[in-house]
Amino acid sequence: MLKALIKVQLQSMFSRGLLRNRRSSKKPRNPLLSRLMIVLLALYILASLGISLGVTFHNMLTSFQPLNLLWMYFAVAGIAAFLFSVIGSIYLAQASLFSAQDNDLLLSMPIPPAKILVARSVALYLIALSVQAVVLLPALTVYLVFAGFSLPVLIMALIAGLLLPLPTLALSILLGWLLALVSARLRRKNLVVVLLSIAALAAYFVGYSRLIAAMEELMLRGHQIAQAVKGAIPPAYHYGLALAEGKLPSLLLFALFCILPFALVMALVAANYRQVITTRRGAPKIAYKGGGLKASSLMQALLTKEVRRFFSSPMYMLNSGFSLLFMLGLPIYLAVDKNVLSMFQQELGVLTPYLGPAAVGVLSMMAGSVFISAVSISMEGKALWILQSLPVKPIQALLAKAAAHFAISLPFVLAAGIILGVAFRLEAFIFVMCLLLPLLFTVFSAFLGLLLNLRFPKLNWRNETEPVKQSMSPFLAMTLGFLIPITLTGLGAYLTSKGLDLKLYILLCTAAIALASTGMYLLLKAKADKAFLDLSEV
Amino acid sequence: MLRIEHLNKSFGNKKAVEDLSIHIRPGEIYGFIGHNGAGKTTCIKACCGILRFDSGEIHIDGINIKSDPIACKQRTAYLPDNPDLYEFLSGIKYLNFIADVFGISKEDREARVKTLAAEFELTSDLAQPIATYSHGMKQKLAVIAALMHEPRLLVMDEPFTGLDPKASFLLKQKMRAICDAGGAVFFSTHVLEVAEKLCDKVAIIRRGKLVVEGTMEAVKGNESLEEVFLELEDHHA
Repeated sequence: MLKALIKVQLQSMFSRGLLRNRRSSKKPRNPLLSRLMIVLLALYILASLGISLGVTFHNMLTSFQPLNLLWMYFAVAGIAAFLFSVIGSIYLAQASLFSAQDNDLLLSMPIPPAKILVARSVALYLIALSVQAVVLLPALTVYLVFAGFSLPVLIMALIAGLLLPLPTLALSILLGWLLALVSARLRRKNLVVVLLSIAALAAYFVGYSRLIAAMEELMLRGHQIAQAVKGAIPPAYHYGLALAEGKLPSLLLFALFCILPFALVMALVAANYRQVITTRRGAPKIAYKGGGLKASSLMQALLTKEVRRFFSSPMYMLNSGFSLLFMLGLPIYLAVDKNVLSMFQQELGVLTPYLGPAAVGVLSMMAGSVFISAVSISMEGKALWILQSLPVKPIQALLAKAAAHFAISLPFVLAAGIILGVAFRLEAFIFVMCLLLPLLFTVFSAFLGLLLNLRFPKLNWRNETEPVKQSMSPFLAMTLGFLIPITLTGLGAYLTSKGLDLKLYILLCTAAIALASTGMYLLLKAKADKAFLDLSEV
Repeated sequence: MLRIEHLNKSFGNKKAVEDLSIHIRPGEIYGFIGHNGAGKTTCIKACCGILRFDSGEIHIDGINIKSDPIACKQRTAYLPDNPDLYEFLSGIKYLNFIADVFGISKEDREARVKTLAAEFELTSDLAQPIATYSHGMKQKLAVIAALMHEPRLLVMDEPFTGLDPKASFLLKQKMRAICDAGGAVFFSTHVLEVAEKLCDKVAIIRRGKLVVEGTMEAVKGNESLEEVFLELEDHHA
């Protein structure tokens, strides 16, 4: 029974949204080519991440090796992997464990609730494992290449690597459970979930930034900090010791540190799992008193509906609009903390004139990686028939989704550009570009997201995690929206060093993004009718 | 009102609808009967412009659905078998959205919401999020939304599923009222007694092909519709 449940969970994770529909009357034009492109892109992303992490780990290794603190190397890698995986797991646990649409169906079957919990946790475990692998594999590779190949290290790393997702799961399931418990009893449930999540994120990033500062300290005062880690975070110490020195007792202790909290959390949640997922106390009933209806135009109605959809779902909001929080948070932080700004200018020295263009690049990257539209079609789910059966042109429905993406991003993009422009005292041209280019990237990512979501829709979802986090289109939209500005910034740095005028380059980029956005709009317009109806066959 | 000519639709190698032709005139309630997977929903979705079809023609009020789908949809209302609505909206916001899409004036929408919601006993729940509605309440809301723009053609897939007896009775009255006003109703059902009592004409479909079609009297003769359906099923098995 448990095996069958786990199989269903895994099927839902990997089958939909990644592959084209099976029922469709048309065959994909070139499935091999599109799959090859996806694989190549995924490899490119993994390679980029792997190389940048590899460089960091290499620096760390060369610092720790002379101090004979190799255990600390693995301990830091383990802590980084843990933190990296925790961030997304909280929402994932809340949505897939406590808000899944098929909870009632499964509860009606002769399946103990604890088994449903375990089956859903297996899917979470695999996600945490793969996220942690992104950090741990470069760390291990750097170690094996530069400190010398060692079979015991490899074996220990594999065993410990399989255990490390358990504390992530324990923490995320516990927080997800608390979130579900609290939100079931509140009226403004979504608002509370969003505020709690933002508070958790803020705490996380404060902690993370302190960790980075601690890492810098670590390089200077290795032994002292190692002693502190040893005393304060025993699981990290034993994890490091097991890997670096192959100590079996340390591995067993680490296993205990992983398994015990996980088992306790599972026991706690399993005890009232049925109660939590079936609690529907919510708000007291509001009686409709009649009247008060306001007539709007078609496009206004469609746009309002899209914006309401976005703000109705904490999962959708916090994931697809994640960069918007950064976009506003970062400039405010820089504007408020004058020390950081002056430190920036001192450190940059002769490169200070490039601060403005770099700000344009960073804001563009943040605007580009917002993926509201890339999920908007999938979020229609089984209610897609409404838009399809109403007298609405497919292009109107799609443009409303793009407009919602733009309207939601607009205040953040403008505020961020203005705050940065004033704080950095940018010259007029760069100031204008700080507003214009990120706005253009917002349009670009809105259209790109729609095209990707039409190509990779995920409509038969059981919880919102599936279209938002386990789907190809948001992944591609976010990655491309992130990589294109980075690539353009990098190319700009190279070309201007070769004598190209910086302002001319920025104008060329602006024209290129405007042209690409227009191209995508025209493509969308040409394909909308057919593609929108084809969604019925997904 | 609805003319389907030589409709063909396949999913991969499977033919869902094969050379289907039906003509529904104004004033007719037309029942569409068939076993599960016979192709009823596919045909209904094609008529509502939700699903593309491989060949054939569909005309609503003389307008071709391929060449002017928006004009066809302006005249039509569709009620699916499962009322998956926008759960993030309240009932009233959903109805207001539908009214905006059909360009219904403020006065008309307020009057229609008031009347329909009172008839279907949903008024006090309209301010609640749809997510909190029961299946039957969602079905009632979907019916109200379908009737908001006073459609000429009402197309429904298993419309009575989930409705309480009073709402079912009311829906039947609304169906007849649409026909009396010169419109038509096309609906699928498995409840043969309902079809027998309600429909002017009926079509029985099997594996995507039309098996028999005509007035209720001509199709069933002296037998019950249930007997005719089962005989046809055995005959074509």
